[in-house]
Amino acid sequence: MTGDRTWDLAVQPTPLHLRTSQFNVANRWTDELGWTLPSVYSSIASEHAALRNACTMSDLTALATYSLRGADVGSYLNRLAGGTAGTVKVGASRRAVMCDDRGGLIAEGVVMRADTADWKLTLPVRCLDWLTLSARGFDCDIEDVSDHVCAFAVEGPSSCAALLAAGFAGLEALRPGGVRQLKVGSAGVTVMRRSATGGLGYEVRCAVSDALFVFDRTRRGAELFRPVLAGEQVRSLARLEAGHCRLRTDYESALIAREVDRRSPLELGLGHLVNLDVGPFTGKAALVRQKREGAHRALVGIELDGASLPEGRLLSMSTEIVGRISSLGWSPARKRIIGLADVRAASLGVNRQLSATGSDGRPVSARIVPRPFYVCPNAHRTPPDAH
Amino acid sequence: MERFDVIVIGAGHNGLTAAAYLARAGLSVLVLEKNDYIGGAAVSREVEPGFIYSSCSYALSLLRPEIVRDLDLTLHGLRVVPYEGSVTLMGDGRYIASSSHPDVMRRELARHSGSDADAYHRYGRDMRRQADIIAPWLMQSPPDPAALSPTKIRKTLSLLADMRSLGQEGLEGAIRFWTLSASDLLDRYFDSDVVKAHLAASAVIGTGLGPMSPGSAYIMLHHRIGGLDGAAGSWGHVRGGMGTVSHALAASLKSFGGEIRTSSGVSEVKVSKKRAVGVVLEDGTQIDAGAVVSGLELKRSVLSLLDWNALPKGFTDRVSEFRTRGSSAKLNIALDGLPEFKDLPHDCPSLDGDIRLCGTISDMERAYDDWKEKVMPRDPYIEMVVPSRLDPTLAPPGKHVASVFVQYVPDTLIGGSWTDANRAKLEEVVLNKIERAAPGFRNKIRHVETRTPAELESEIGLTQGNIFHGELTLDQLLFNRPLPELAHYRTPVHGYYLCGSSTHPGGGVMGAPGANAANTILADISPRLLRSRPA
Ligand SMILES: Cc1cc2nc3c(=O)[nH]c(=O)nc-3n(C[C@H](O)[C@H](O)[C@H](O)COP(=O)(O)OP(=O)(O)OC[C@H]3O[C@@H](n4cnc5c(N)ncnc54)[C@H](O)[C@@H]3O)c2cc1C
Repeated sequence: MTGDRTWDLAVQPTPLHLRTSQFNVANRWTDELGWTLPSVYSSIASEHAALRNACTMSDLTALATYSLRGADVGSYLNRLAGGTAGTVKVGASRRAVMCDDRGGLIAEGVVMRADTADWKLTLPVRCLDWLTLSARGFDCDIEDVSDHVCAFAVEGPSSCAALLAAGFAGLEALRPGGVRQLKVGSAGVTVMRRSATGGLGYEVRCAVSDALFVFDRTRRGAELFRPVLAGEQVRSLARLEAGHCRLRTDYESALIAREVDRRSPLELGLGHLVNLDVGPFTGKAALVRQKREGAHRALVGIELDGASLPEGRLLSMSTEIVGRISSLGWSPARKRIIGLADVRAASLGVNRQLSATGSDGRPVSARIVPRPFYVCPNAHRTPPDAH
Repeated sequence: MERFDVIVIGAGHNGLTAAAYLARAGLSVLVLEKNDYIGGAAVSREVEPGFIYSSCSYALSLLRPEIVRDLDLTLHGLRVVPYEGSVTLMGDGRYIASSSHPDVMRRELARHSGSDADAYHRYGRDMRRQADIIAPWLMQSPPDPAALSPTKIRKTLSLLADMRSLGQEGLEGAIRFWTLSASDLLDRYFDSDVVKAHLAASAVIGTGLGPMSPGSAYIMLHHRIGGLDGAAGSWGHVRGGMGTVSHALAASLKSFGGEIRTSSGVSEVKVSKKRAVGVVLEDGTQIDAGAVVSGLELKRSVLSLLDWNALPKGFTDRVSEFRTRGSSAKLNIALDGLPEFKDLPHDCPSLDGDIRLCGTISDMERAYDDWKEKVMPRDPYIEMVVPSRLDPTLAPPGKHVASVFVQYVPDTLIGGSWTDANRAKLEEVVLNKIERAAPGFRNKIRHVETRTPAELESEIGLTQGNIFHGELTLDQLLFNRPLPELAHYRTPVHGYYLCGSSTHPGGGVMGAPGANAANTILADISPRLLRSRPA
C-alpha cells in the first residue's frame, strides 16, 4: 500500500472550518450529523461569559436544512408538524415538532420563510425519507440543501449592535422570530432573530461559496464588540439554561429510538408546539389519547444542592427510583447545578423531595423547578437594548 | 471396553462447544471426529504451503458472547479482528463502500439517494428491534407452543409475553419481517437499486431462496443478530483463520479433562432397549457411553447412524423431508499480490471487509433462477474477503489469501454431477467474474481450491452441501427446527441427542446449538450421574 490517501469518505469539515480551526486554541473537537465542530475554543467559562454578557459567534452547520417548494407547502407542514408549522407568515419563523404516527417525537426544528416561495425547515436530524414519505399527495418538493447552506449564530446581549456595526442594516427592527434577507457586500444573506440559548441572538445563513467572506466580514465589522467564538459545549450548556430539551441528550428521535426511549412532545414539555384543536396531523390521534389519559412520563427541570456533579444519574424519592437525569451542568448564570430529568408522571406533585447520589455516595437533594432556568428580557424586546 | 459419560460425534464447533460445557460440568467426555483434523466447517487448512485458508466459513459474527465467556475462549487463543465495512460492486462502475460510522455511511448512501441515506436509520432501527426480539431465543430452547407441562407453558408464555410487550404494531412488524421477501422489505424503505442490492446481499447467503422469495427477509435478520463485543451485526476475521475458533474450543474442552480422537469416524450408534448406550467406529471399535450426542447434520445423525427399526413409524420419512438443498460453493485462493478493484480507490477501508460482486436484486434473482433449473451458474453472486489484509499470519509477507463464497450453486447439475470438468468450469466462471472487477487478478493466482456442494458433503458431511445443516426458512426454525419433535435436542432414542446446526437456532459459527444441547443433556442426566458418583 502506498502512503497516498485518495479515499476521503469521512466526517467532513464545515465551510467555516478554516476559521474555526484557526481560533480553536484548545483544539477540542466534536462531530454532529457528519460534520466536525469545535467543542471548546478556549474555555467554557470565558465562552459562557461572552455569551451571557457580550457577544459570541458559533458555527451552526450541523443542522439538516430542507428547502420546500410548491403550492401546498403550508398545508404539508401543518400536516407534518403539529398542525402549526405551516402557519408561518412571510418574514417570520417558528419552532415546530414533528411526530411519527404513534405520537413519538422525531425532532424539534424551525420553519422559516424568507419570502412567499422560500420555505426552509431546519432539523437536528436527517430525515429526508420521512419528509418525502409525508409529502405524498401534497404539491410540495423537498430538497436537502444542507451541503449548500452555511449557517452561523451571533448571540449575546450585544449581538444586535455587533451585527449593525458589521453592516446588517435595519436589524434593530427585526422582531423575535423575524426573518430578513440582506446583502453583505455582494453576498445575499438571510438573518433570523432566534436563539436557543435563552438570550438575544441571530442566525445568519448564506451560500457555502460566500461562507468565509460573510463570516469574516461580520467578525471584523463587529470588532468593537469583541465577538468570542463559542463551541458546542457552551451552546449546549446555554440551551440547558434556557430549559430546552436536546435531541440525543434528553430524548432520542422516534425514527431510531428503542421502544422504551420513545417520548411524545407532551412528555417532553413541548405541548405548546402542537395544536390538538386543528385538523389532522401526523401523530394527532395518539397525542389526543395521551392528553386524555395522561402521560406516563415527564421531562422536568431540576436543581441540585451543592457544587459538584452527582455520580449517578438515577433520581429517587425516599427509596423508590422515580426517574433518570438526562442532562446536568453547573450553570454559571444561576450559580447552581441544573438539569433535566425524565421522571414518572405519577411521582410529580406529590412529595417533591428527590435525591440523586453524590460522588461520595451520599444522597444529594434535588428539587423539581420550572423551566427555563435563565431568561433574558432582551430576548423579547424590539429593538433590543443596545449594549 | 472403554466407557465415557458422554460421547460427542463430530468435532465441528458445535460438537466441541457441547463437549466443553459437558466436561466443564464434570462429566467424562470423548469427541470422535472422522477427519484427521477438527473443526468441521470452522477450520483453517494449509493446502498451499505458507498459505492458510479458512476452508469453509470465513466471517465471524454470530458466535455467542456467552460461550466466549463461559469457556474462556480468549484465554484459549481466540482473537477476532473486527472489520468495519463491506463493499458492494455493481459491475457498472457504481458501488457502495459501507462504514460502521453512521454519518460516513449516510454520506456514502447519499451518493445514490438522499432519502435512502436517511431511511437507512429507520431501517436500522427496525432491524435492531427485530434482532432484539430473536436474540434471547437463541440461547435457550425454543418455545414449544404445543407443550402442556406447566413449566414449559410458563416459559413459552414468557417468551410470547416478550413479544406481546412489542404491542400490536411490533407484533405485526415481527411477522412481516419473518414472512416478507428481502426485496419487498427493502422496497418499503429504499429506492436506489444499489442500496437495495447492498442490503439484500446478506439475504441470499447459503439459502435456497432468492431475494424475491417470501421468507428471505428473515435471513438478513439472522445474519444481523451476531454481536462482536455487543455491537449487533458486526463482523470479524478470526486471527489464524476460522479454525482458531475450533482450536480454542478444543483447548477449553481439554482444560476440563475432555478428550478428542480424530480419524475416528462413527458408523453406528448402539441402541439397547430404546436407549443409546455407545457407538461403533468405522473400524469396528466399540465404545460405551451414558449418553451420545451427534454434532452431525440431522439426516446423517438419524438416517445413517441409527437402526431404523428402533425408530417410531413415519419418523425417518419426516427426517428425509427436512430440506437441505445446497446452494453455495467456495473458492480458496492463494495470491501473489493484493487484488485491485478498478472501480474503487485502493485505500478504501471497506476493502478489509467483504467485497460483493453482485449486480442488482434482479441479477441475484436471475442467478437464483439458474440454481432452480440446476444449470451451471452463469453469473453467480460472489462474496469475497481478503483476510490477509488484516491478519499477517495467513500468508507470507506481500502475499495474500482470498476466500470466495459463491452463491446459487446447485448440489447436482441437470446434466449430471459435480465432475472434475464441471468443477473446473465453475472455477472459470468465478475467476472470470472477479477478473472483470479486478483486472490482473488471475495473473496473481498461485493456487485455487474449489469446493462445490459435492466436496462439502464428502469432506465434512454436509448433506447436499447445505452450509447451515438445513435451510434457514421459518418452517424449519425455532420450534420447528429441525422437526417439532426434535426441537429440544432430544430424539426418540433416549440418551441420544442432537447438537449440530440442524438444531435451533441454526447454522453459522454461533455455538448456540451446542451450548443449548449441553444444557438439555445436563438437565436430563447429571442428577442421575452425580448421584452415582462418589463425592
Ligand atoms: C462454504 C461455507 C461457508 C460458510 N461461511 C460462513 C461464514 O462466513 N460465517 C458463518 O458464521 N458461518 C458460515 N458457514 C456456516 C458454518 O460454517 C456452519 O454452519 C457451522 O460451521 C457448522 O458447524 P457444526 O458444528 O454444526 O457442524 P460441522 O462443522 O459440519 O461439524 C460436523 C463434524 O462432524 C464430522 N463428521 C461427519 N460425519 C462424521 C462421522 N460419521 N463420524 C465422526 N465425525 C463425523 C465432520 O467431519 C465435522 O467435523 C459456512 C459454511 C460453509 C460450508
